Amino acid sequence: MKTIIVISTMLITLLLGKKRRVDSARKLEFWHLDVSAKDSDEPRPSACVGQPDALSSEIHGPQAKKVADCWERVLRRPPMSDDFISVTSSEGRRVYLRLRREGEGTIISDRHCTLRGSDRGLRLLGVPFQQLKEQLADKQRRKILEELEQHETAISRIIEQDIRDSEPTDDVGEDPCRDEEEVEDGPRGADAAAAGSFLWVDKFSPRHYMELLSDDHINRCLLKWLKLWDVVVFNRERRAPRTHSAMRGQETAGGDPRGSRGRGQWEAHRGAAMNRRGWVERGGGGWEGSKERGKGGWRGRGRGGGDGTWYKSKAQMMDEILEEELDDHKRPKYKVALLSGPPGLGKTTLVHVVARHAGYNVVEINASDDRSPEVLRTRVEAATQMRSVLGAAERPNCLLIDEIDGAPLATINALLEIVNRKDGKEKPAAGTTRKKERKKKEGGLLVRPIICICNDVYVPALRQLRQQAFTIAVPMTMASRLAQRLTEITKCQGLRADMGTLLALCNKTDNDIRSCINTLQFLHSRGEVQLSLGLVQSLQVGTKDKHKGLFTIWQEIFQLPQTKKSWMDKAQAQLGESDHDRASKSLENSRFHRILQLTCHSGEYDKISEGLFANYPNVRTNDPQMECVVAALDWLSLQDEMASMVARRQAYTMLRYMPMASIALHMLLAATRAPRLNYPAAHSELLARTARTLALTDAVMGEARSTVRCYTNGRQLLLDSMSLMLDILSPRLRPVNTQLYSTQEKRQLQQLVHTMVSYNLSYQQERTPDGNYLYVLEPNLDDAARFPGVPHPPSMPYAARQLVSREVQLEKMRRTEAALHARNPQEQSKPNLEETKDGETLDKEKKKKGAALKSHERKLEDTIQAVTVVDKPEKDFFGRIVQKKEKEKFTMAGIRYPVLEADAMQRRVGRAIGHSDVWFRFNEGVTNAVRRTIYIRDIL
Amino acid sequence: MSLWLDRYRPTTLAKLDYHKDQATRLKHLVECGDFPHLLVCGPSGAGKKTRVMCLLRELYGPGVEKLRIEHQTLTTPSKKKIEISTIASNYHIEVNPSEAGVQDRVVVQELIKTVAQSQQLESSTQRDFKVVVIAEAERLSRDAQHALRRTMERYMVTCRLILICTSASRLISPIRSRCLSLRVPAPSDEEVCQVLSSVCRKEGLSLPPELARRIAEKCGRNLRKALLMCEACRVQQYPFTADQNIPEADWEVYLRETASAILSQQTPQRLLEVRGRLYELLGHCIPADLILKGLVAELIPLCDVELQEEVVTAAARAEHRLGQGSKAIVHIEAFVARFMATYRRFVEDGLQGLGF
Repeated sequence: MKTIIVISTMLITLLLGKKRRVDSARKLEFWHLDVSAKDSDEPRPSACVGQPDALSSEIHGPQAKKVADCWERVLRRPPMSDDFISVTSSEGRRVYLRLRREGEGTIISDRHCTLRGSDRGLRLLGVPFQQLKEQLADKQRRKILEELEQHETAISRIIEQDIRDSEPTDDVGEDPCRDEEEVEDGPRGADAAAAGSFLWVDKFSPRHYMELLSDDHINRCLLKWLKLWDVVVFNRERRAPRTHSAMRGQETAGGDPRGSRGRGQWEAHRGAAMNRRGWVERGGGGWEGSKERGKGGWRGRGRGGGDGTWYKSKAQMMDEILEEELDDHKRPKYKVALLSGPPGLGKTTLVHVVARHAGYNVVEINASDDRSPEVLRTRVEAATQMRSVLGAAERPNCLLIDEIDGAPLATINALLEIVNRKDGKEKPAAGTTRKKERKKKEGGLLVRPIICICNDVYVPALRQLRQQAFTIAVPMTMASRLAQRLTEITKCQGLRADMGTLLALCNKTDNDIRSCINTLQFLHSRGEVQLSLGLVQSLQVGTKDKHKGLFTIWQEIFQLPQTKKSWMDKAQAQLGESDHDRASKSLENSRFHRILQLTCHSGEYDKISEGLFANYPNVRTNDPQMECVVAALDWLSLQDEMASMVARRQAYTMLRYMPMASIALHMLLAATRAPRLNYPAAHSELLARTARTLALTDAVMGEARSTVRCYTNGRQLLLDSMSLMLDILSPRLRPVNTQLYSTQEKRQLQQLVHTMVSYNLSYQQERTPDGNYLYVLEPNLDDAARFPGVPHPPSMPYAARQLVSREVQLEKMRRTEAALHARNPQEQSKPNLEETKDGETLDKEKKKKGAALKSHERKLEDTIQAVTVVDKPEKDFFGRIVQKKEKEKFTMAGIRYPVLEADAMQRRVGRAIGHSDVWFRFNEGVTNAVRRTIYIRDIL
Repeated sequence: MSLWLDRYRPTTLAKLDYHKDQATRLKHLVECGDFPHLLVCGPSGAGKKTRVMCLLRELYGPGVEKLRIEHQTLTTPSKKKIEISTIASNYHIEVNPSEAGVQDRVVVQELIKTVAQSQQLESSTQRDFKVVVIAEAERLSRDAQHALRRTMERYMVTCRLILICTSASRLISPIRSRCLSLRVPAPSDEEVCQVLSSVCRKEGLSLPPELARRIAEKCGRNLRKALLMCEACRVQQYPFTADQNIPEADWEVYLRETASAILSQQTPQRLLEVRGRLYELLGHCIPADLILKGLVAELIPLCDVELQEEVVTAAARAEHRLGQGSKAIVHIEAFVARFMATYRRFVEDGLQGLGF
């Protein structure tokens, strides 16, 4: 600092002749003055300016005028119009320096620029004066802050002491969380330079709940959910008001820095009464919060309130989930929490911090571990059923499964199985004795919280888990909050950067915390001290290989670049002073490259072009001649052609041209406001529809008669026949009994039925939702052949359809029977034989089988047989055969024998059997009693 | 039985209604004893299949008419199962390889081999070859066609092929050169009228010649369509009147309406509506080239002569891309948009010319 002042003093002295003392000013153009001094004065101290003579002589001529211009600025009396600075020499002589207005003297700055470019040695000060000033101010500020902090800690110590005094039974001096804070906080501010070996990301990762950068509501939700486990894990009673007030306490602690202290203390007192572990943390958190929020948390809160309406519904939903009752085992309803969000939001950190805050020891399983189902099972069991023995704090475990979206399905299923495991025997002992319950829980029941983290929650493997988990979508970190944190980091590390620069960095990395901090560290390690907007913009590191969603891509293609983009351009233009190439890059060019990059990154050309095709008509373009639309469609069809080339002929060289269509569409159609985008479902719908139609024709063709099939195929059926066939199949039939039809009508009906049977069509009765019955053609050709909006002749009424349906069924039965008869003609003749032949011959045939026949298979003949057989050995009381006498009696009567024989049988058996076609036989338990062989042809 | 179409189909070469000289030539061919591979081509509804079945009957007698449907399962080299149904008699087998999609090569190879490797049973009374009828041969993939080349020569002794297709140009020339090409032209309007009146006579109906002529015009020389239309007319209204409404296939009506929608207004909104209609058509499995053809046929007559050339060029390009690409809707819509732009420009120029 001293040397700089000396140099500047010398300069002024040179400038003003013999003056010694200098009154420093607000805004001095050192370079300017330096040059002018050089040019004007002979006694130039060579130690100060190591300027080669060649250069000075070279610039001497053309600069003379400017020197004069320069002298004009040093005035004896204050100028009338312009701003000025007064400089008083040690002798008390005062001159007035006129300030150069902005925009004036561009040539000079130009020259100075070239000078700077040609020779760095001209720069007298290593660091601009302004920065030096800022550094000084910074130093002072930091000193004040340190003092403040000391005071604060002192006060907090006193208060803690008070609390401890009020709770003498609990000795919580060794609270791990508190200890950690003290230990970790130390190096953070002080020896920042020494700790260059490890990543800043780790170094500056939040240690406390209140330091978290993620959304407050999300943090709170996760914490609440973890607290729900308290009942099972810590054996504490769950008290709704406690958690409520505690939460509210935290919130207000965050929101209102003034009131927080007292309230936090009060809160801490209450908490202490409830439980031992929780309160200190909460107390600590409260303190932290009061500090944090005072600085940066404010803005975030204000924004959160801005879009409160949308926010609230979701928040309420979350809260409702959290308010739900515990299950039989006093566990929360959702055993697993699933956090999702893009990388770099601090999800893992969030879980670590929150879990520690809630008094757990975090056991982490991530993608680098073996994640086969068996290993996972053992690990989960180890984590959930054991406690860490090492370490002073015997904390229960909380399992954190990181990057779960990369895990195989089997693993996730194993996890689900563990989660859903139930204690079968547990039921009776539900709430009787605590000990028993405990024991059983250890035998398999999950009693520790599991938290899963993923980037993409919609991975198919996670589908099951998603339904059973308390899903939290971690929102984007707020840029302001992140920038705030970055400022702190830069301050700690001695980097200089203003808020705008840091915001630009946030913007560049899409608010990725990790990426931001890594970039900062990278810059730091490269030796940069001063971060400027240009530096951040020109930086190649820090940008992620961003995978954007399809909707974002479509939107960007249909939308002209926003103001944000122009801001970027401006930044580039600023930068462009040194890099003319980039400066000359036109807007068109940058648009081209942006879309090219966007499309290439996604790689789903097919889906992108589908979406473009589906959505382009909604874009409002000023295109009355439709030229743009024609050109756009030309591009799309070209792309389709190329895609097919790739698919069919493996012409992969074509792949490089695939993104061109989207670029062309962007150039042609992009408007200031993107249209409402719809997901392109039309193509898949079309495929489904086509498949349905084809299935329909297949159903018709597959069952049609061979004579029909021989002459036609599905395509012809669809194109030529189907629609006309529908017309032919709905003739106007009179809704009367078919018996009343004229021969012409009968013929028509018959033809209709024949046609339907040969194409395997029929009418099926169906019930509509409103309770009516309909006859629907089956397979329903209407689907395949009819188009909306085309007039048709009226379809057949219900009665006619019913009639046709019946006739078709009859015809089908006839045909199947005919086919049966045709296949084995013997069977056809058999019943005829039976009818004509006398019973006796048949009896003999049947006798052989008779005994083996089951009752339901018996036929009339068997029964007659059986009856007569039973009757034959009729004997009298003494076992003598009575029959003979009677026979004799009949013979004596002189009637012919055979007739008599039959008569006798009739008497014995009764009239029914063997004479009537319908007969009855009672079988115990089975009622297949009335039987008669009837053929369709007998009925129809 | 069944539709008129099926009921009055001629079964012998002698009974064929038109192209009788071709029929007699076929008869001579059969009488000669030897018989080359045949390539029967002709537009849809010209009676190709009928003619082939008559020929087969001439060859083998009425035994050919005993048809049975067989479902066969073939295994591709990649162990994929293909189900295909064939229609066969004792003497011939008919197969439609396009049922198997891209795997039609396997069907062609396997099926013909199995058929060709078994000898005819009664070689004394029958011909010593069987016939394999390949329907829709134009849809055979290039692979399948190349597979067919060798098979055709190798099994010439026991097997003859009859390829049926609508356009021989889709077949590779080696196959065309191996076959005796037989073109079955579509019946002329008079022939259609003649067939219609004879069928009606057999049905015992009186068909006014005026109506017959109108049907013949409307059916586009497609006899299948003509007969179906005639029967639909009969269902709609009998006794026939000369000026009665002739029902048409729905998709044709729909396509015509689409064309008129294009003509009536040329805006992106209308284009969107047209897209909906095109999707509807494609969803009903109407081939894209037919849609394009139908549109052009409807649009061209209403265009000025100056425009016609431009429109046809655009259509030709769209059709080419249809063949090359896979998303039909894009290409058809590109054509529609181009037509709209052209037509609109033309109309506006015309208005300017009138001095507006």
